[in-house]
Amino acid sequence: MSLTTPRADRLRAVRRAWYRFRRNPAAVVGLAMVLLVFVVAIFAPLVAPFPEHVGGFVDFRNRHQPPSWTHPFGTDNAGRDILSRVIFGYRISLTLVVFVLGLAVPFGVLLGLLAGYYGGWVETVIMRLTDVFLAIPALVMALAITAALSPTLLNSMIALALLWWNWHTRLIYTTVASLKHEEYVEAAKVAGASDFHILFRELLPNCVSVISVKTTLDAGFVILIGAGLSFLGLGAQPPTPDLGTMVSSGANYLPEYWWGSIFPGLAILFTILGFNLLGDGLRDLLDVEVN
Amino acid sequence: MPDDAPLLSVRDLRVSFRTFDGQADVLQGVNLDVPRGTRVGLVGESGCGKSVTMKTIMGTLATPPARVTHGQIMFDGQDLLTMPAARRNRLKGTDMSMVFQDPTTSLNPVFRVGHQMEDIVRWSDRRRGIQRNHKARKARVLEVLEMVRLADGERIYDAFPIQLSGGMRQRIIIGMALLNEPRLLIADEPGTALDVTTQDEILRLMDDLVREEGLSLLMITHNLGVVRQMTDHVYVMYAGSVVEDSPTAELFDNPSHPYTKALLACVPKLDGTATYEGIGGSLPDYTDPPAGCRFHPRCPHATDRCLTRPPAFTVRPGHTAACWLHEPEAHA
Amino acid sequence: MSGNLLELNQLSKRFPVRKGLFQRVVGHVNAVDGVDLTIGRGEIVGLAGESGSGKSTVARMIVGLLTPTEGTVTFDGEDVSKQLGTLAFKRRVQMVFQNPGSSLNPRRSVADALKVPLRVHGVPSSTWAERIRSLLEMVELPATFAQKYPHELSGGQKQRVAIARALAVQPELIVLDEPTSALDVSVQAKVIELLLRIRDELDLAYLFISHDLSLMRNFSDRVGVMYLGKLAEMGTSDDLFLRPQHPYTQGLLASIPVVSEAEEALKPTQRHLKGEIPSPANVPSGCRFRTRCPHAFDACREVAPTFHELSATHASRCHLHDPALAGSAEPTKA
Ligand SMILES: Nc1ncnc2c1ncn2[C@@H]1O[C@H](COP(=O)(O)OP(=O)(O)OP(=O)(O)O)[C@@H](O)[C@H]1O
Ligand SMILES: Nc1ncnc2c1ncn2[C@@H]1O[C@H](COP(=O)(O)OP(=O)(O)OP(=O)(O)O)[C@@H](O)[C@H]1O
Ligand SMILES: [Mg+2]
Ligand SMILES: [Mg+2]
Repeated sequence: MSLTTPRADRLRAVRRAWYRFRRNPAAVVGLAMVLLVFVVAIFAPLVAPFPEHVGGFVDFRNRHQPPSWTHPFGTDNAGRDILSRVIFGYRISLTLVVFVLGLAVPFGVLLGLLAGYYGGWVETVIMRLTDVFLAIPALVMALAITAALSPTLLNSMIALALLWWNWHTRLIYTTVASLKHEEYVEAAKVAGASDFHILFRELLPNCVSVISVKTTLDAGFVILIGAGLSFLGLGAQPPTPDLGTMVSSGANYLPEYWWGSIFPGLAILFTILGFNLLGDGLRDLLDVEVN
Repeated sequence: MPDDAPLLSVRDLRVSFRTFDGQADVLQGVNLDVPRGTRVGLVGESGCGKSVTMKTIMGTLATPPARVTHGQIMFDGQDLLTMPAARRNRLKGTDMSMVFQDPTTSLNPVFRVGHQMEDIVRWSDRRRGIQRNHKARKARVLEVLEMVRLADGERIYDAFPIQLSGGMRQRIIIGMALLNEPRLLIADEPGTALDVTTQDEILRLMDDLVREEGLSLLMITHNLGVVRQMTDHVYVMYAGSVVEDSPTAELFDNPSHPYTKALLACVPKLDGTATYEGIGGSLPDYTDPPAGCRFHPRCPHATDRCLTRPPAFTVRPGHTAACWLHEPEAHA
Repeated sequence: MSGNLLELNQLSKRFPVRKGLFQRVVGHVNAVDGVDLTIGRGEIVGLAGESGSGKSTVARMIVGLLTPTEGTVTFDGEDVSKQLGTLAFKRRVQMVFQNPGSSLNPRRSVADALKVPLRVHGVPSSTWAERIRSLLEMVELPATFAQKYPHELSGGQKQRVAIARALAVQPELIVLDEPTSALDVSVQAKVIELLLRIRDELDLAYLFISHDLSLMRNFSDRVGVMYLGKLAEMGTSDDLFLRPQHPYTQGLLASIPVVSEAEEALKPTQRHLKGEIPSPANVPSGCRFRTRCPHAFDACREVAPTFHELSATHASRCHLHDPALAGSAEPTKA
């Protein structure tokens, strides 16, 4: 029998997980990219070369400067440093992600748990509702909602959250529908455990891996669709340094001043790629761990 | 090649795995012969390396993490481990076949049984470099369905796996292994997912087929009763090496290795005389196995000698046990 | 017969069979069909029979995971048919499941698993740590195992934890649904030894379900053999294994792989069972075993046999025991 302490065991489990994760280079790169984005966004005022260029700053002498050592991403039509604005733009993108997924995931997961566990009419009502939401393309719906309300960042976040939950409901529903026949669930029932206990203590922990993989993959998508809304003028309004807005305003000066929208565009791509690589890596990792 | 040489002969096979905890030396010099036209059993408990042995023979072991560090696998006089991959693949699909344990997962649920079987015929034809048309292939499939005693072959040909019972599916799996007219059949726990009654039928069927077709059988199982019923010769495996091998009847009359004895004692007896002593301790960790005889930490007879690995000592003609208790001088 | 801990009286369970787009009910599966069974205090009663014969369904009704369609359950002299799912009853009857791989939640530690019954049944939380330690000790696991997760345990260790969990509420009856079928024989021996020791210490009764008839022979005091939802034969272990009377029991025994000549001699010499168990949605008329029975005669097609008492402990449901029918009968099949 092993004589190690629980703490050491835990530590070992983490090290083992990291060992497996490390063997997937794409996932490691993804993790590094995501971490980079987070660090840069959190420490934006310290990292950005020209933090003052973020708001309504104008310097017409320096407008449309091509990429150079001082302005690696060039400057925009108001002479603002694009790199600095991209860095602050990440803050908005990540706020969007946290807000949208922070609302949609718990709500979607809860409904999925209920539908999967109880079945019957609970299932019918919840799942038909998700069908309705799934039938409408997300972007179209978001457009409609933000257009109906006023085009602000907050409203676009609300619209996205309204659209996002049903994916998680579907996912958790199918997961729980198969998990609920596991013997440990029956064992808990035999012991007399309440539904609350079974839902949140037995089933939910076993959904964590699928939820985290899905949420990570989603993060990239939320950024993309959020940027799409801003691009169409339905999200954050200028001069807020939103990546989508920057792509769209830079697009007015294509192709001569290409850097104005290319760099914010690449910045969006970078986060999406990072989240997707990380999500795929997590999936491999967690799949193995459950077995 | 003299005809009395075994069809399959495994010599000092060693296989290691790369794992988080370091190198796991799983197979530690496995020796095993399957003479032509005989039925050989490889028996041992979960994790002792039966499937690794079988996968190494079939060449289906994923490398890495596995690595064959030493040994020979002679099939019909040729070493499978050193022959070119293409040749080995050809053998795999023609001269040797496998029967898997679980009839529910070894058939693809979305294709008709007949089509799955025909695919196998086609692949094996391709390996042999012959060509048959659909009709000839179907005829072969129906012939095999009859061989595995499935009446109404036409109906089964068109059925989906889900429409058949577990026993019928297991018959089909056996039939699939026979389609390419192999000389060696390797069966990994056939029928253990089934009822005793169905398992009994399946085992009888396999036995008949092996005799009728003159096949050699290597049967892998953890069930000593099945081995006794189905084989002529048994290899008992513990923690990656063969600890005892013997003609089947002789092994059950005269088990000689302490592990074999302990294992036999654990089997509940139909006469109601079971003792529940079990075997103390557990299978060693392959990344840090005990020195010498790997069974010594659990062995009631262990002495300092056991820190050196015992060779296979002859107990009686044809019966060996890898245990110092059977060292010839020890008796003198 | 008041000394019985558990009495099943004509217990039955029917499942609807649904088909098609609208999940219409197109028929019924009589998974359990009028089972009478008693278990005394401290007694081990075995249930054998092929896959699909309804063993687990009986078990699941007793522990309240399924509601019986018909019949009554009497526990300790009291009709509990209406309270099978209630907390008060769950405290007295527990279950150990077949699959050590899935009977513990992979995301929850051993201590978490053991706390569930303690919390539910109102054991004060200040005593949990102590209880968990003594439960682990009871199943011969070190106290440090409390912090472990299922993937760190071997199959036998998981099954010990599952037994500890069942013991946590101090039940009087534990239903063991194939508790060792996923384990190696050497591990099985240890688990069975543990179960026997606990039974003696706590005066527990077990309902033991298994496919391993040799194990059943050794472990059970009495054994019932089920076929398609009905008991075919019931008797003490000796009755059943030394003097099997029902052709189905004989067929089952004949197909057991054994490890010695001595045991071989104990197996009935009758022909092996042919074919497979019919679908319970479509039970043969008369005697449900007749389609596979080597002795079937005309009456078997028409009349369902009743239990014939062969001795005080031994009963078998077969027309062969009825001199009036069997005497005149010509076997229809050679
Ligand atoms: N891919 C792998 N990576 C690391 N270790 C492995 C791998 N495959 C097998 N092993 C190890 O090799 C040992 C033997 O495994 P094997 O599957 O051969 O056992 P077995 O005798 O077939 O058991 P069972 O009766 O359970 O099928 C096990 O301890 C296992 O952990
Ligand atoms: N929830 C259910 N819905 C419909 N049919 C069911 C359900 N549970 C069991 N059955 C059916 O009832 C019959 C008896 O099943 P049960 O699980 O009790 O058999 P068993 O004797 O335990 O078999 P095994 O040895 O395979 O565990 C089977 O035909 C099965 O298909
Ligand atoms: Mg195996
Ligand atoms: Mg069952």
